[in-house]
Amino acid sequence: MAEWAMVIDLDRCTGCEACVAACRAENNVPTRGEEECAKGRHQSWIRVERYLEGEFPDVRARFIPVLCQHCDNAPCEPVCPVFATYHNPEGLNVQVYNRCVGTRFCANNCPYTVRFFNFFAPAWDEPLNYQLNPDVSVRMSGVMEKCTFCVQRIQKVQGIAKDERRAVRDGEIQPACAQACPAEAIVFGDRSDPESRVSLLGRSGRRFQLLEDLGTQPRVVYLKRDSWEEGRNSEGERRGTSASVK
Amino acid sequence: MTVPLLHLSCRTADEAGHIISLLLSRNVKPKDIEVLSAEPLHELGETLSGKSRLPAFVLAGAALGIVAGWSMAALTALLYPLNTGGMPVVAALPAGIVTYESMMLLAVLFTLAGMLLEGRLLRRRRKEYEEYADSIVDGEIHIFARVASEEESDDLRLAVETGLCGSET
Amino acid sequence: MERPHPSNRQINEDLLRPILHTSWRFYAATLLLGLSLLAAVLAWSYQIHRGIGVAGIRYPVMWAFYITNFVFWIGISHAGTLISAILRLVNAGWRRPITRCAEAITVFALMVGSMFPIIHLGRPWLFFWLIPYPNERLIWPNFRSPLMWDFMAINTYLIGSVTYLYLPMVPDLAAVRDRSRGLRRKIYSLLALGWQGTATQWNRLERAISIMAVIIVPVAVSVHTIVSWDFAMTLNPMWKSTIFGPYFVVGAIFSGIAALILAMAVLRKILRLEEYLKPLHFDNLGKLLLTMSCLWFYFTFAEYLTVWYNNEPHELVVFRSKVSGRYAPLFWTMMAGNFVIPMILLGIRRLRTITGTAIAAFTVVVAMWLERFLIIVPTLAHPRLPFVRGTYAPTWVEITITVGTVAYFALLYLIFTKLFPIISLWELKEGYRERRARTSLAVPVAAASGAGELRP
Repeated sequence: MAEWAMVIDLDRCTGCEACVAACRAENNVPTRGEEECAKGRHQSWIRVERYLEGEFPDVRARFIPVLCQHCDNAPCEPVCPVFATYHNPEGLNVQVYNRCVGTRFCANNCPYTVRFFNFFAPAWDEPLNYQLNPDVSVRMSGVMEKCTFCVQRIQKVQGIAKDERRAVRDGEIQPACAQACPAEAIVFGDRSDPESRVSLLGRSGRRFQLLEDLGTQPRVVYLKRDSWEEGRNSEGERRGTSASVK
Repeated sequence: MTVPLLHLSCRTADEAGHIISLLLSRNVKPKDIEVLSAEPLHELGETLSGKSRLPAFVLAGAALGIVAGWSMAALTALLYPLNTGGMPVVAALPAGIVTYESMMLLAVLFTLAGMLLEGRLLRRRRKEYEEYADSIVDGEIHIFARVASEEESDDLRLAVETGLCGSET
Repeated sequence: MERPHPSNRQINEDLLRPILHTSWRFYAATLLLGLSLLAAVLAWSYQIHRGIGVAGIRYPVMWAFYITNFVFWIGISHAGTLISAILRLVNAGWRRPITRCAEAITVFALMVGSMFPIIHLGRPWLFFWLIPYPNERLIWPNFRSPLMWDFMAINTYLIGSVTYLYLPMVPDLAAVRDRSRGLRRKIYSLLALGWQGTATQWNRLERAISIMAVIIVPVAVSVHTIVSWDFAMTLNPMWKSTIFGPYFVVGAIFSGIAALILAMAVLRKILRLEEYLKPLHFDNLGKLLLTMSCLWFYFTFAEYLTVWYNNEPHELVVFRSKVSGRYAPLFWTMMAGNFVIPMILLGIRRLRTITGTAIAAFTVVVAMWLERFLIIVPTLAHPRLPFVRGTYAPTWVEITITVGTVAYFALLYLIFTKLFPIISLWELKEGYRERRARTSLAVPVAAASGAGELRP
């Protein structure tokens, strides 16, 4: 059985946020309006975190796209009292909207804060309401949602492959974010196949995982040139995360 | 034919104690004596009502609770073998917590049931009780004893009355 | 014989008066509290209609007022059962007039507290999906979730404490039955379960009460431990703490005693119970509150010291936001209310009057609410990835529901005092009798009465 995984090459990422827009369009993520977003009610299954380092004029921006890491040991899963989120056989961390009662415990226990709650019934600004994706269900008020690794695309390709009596080819499945990335920084595939691009890239010496030390075993691998030398001198790294916010 | 009923009343638990020990010494059986009071008469309760089986109720409830809790938390998990967060399907520690709570719950319910059964609650009240209810609430203690004959009843009443007078001087 | 204590007749009259006679004040208070409750119900309806977004919760602060209230009320509920059970187990004589009003706090605080997990749900109409019963949904609750432990524990605790409140009340319900007529008599007849006060019934009742006292203590401890595990089971900074179980239990008992003192002070005034709730009770409970205040400070110190000393960035962000950041005013108010003020008012004997104790109890209740808030919100506002930061401010919906549920608690309590004797008649009488017996033990004849010769 396939084990879906993703590799994001941060050395390629330009922080253009095309992935963010594509994800929103693909997955029928509702828009909440200026006022609600200011309150923190935005929903954005993938976000590009931007950190500024150094003092003016020697400033560098670093980008890191963060989406659901589909952890193998997902902290969000066991805390749900109604099995609304669980691990499917292909290793996806799935959210069953119809089962969710909205305790929001999963969001609290997600160290990556990538779970989004529908505080109100879904709504879209004109004319976005005309381009909803028929393959993706919209989520009602009061349920949790998050990145699915574009499970609708996975299933579609699997269906085609099954009809043609063949295996899914590497690179055949592309989540919306990977498809939209102009720098091709995002690669998606089956990590159980040792020859797939994710497997090859995932073995790179540049690899790291987000908050690896928590033992959540994320399925998203990031690639980054070793920046230890630069990092040691930078204020943000030394003082830890609290200082790097600014 | 009705059984003659000896009726005595007094104000304090000490007096009641005297009366009952006197009745017992005159071969009235504990199960033929009934005391109605608005406060517990600790030693008398033990004497007249026999050994309580409440602890057995509690233990039975707790045992059933353990079985029920463990089955609910652990065995049903096997019916829905969903993997969450890399945890085992039957996770012993969480199941233990659920088991503990259900053990306590059934112990409570069995205690309640045991008290209702053993204390003969949820039944009709005695005729005599209705008659003296008001004075019982105000602290009077009423003692009823089933005796063999009217003569014995008079006899006992006399003995009790002299006995009480004796103790008061 | 001289009677230093009120006679049985006097006790009946004093304590049954609120039940048998009703003044206009009762109706006025009921109306006022009822209106507050109605406002809360309307606010909740609005929230269900519009979506939970009308509350102030937001990304990433997904839990706030409702969960604070939940933890707070469950904490208050530790007043009764735990205190009354412990006092019963050690056979403290002075407990008699206060056990029932403590146990009633437990039951009503639990009823109010257990509403909040439902109010806070995104889809509250589906709360029954947490209940394990054979269903057509082909899915069973997940017992690995701390919320399920919560559900089980609160369920057990509620049933246990209702039983524990009800059992000692049965003889008193019989007393009310025998003192009333008509419909009221019928209702109390049902509630009294046919109690007539035979030796067997008394014996079994006392056995059952002492068994319940033993059972309810570990249940109460487990309940608040499990509530703390809602937080401690997560990976979040300043939630993931092994000390949380006992810390929450201590906090719960602390706020519970404070609530009990407040309730007693109010009852004493309103129901004119000066004869029964004496300065002695406030003094004793005040000392207990002082002890718990020290214990609470000790736990808080241990909790914050370890976080500060570890110097771990994720944790330190939360720590700083509490101690010197955005939440500092709340934090230092909490410190004052939970430790400094009780220390002064309860530590100095001259100030430990009924008023002094009641004031200290009030600051403790407020500060313990803040404590729960400060445990929940700052952690959620500062998740591990520093890119995400949040704030939180309550909306009128949350405030209305919070105030309304306080009113709801008061209303339930008010109605309870109207329907049931708030002080246990028979336990009080028994206590006075025992004390009389002890004082007259000097007389040899009276001493001869008794226990020894009774055994067959």
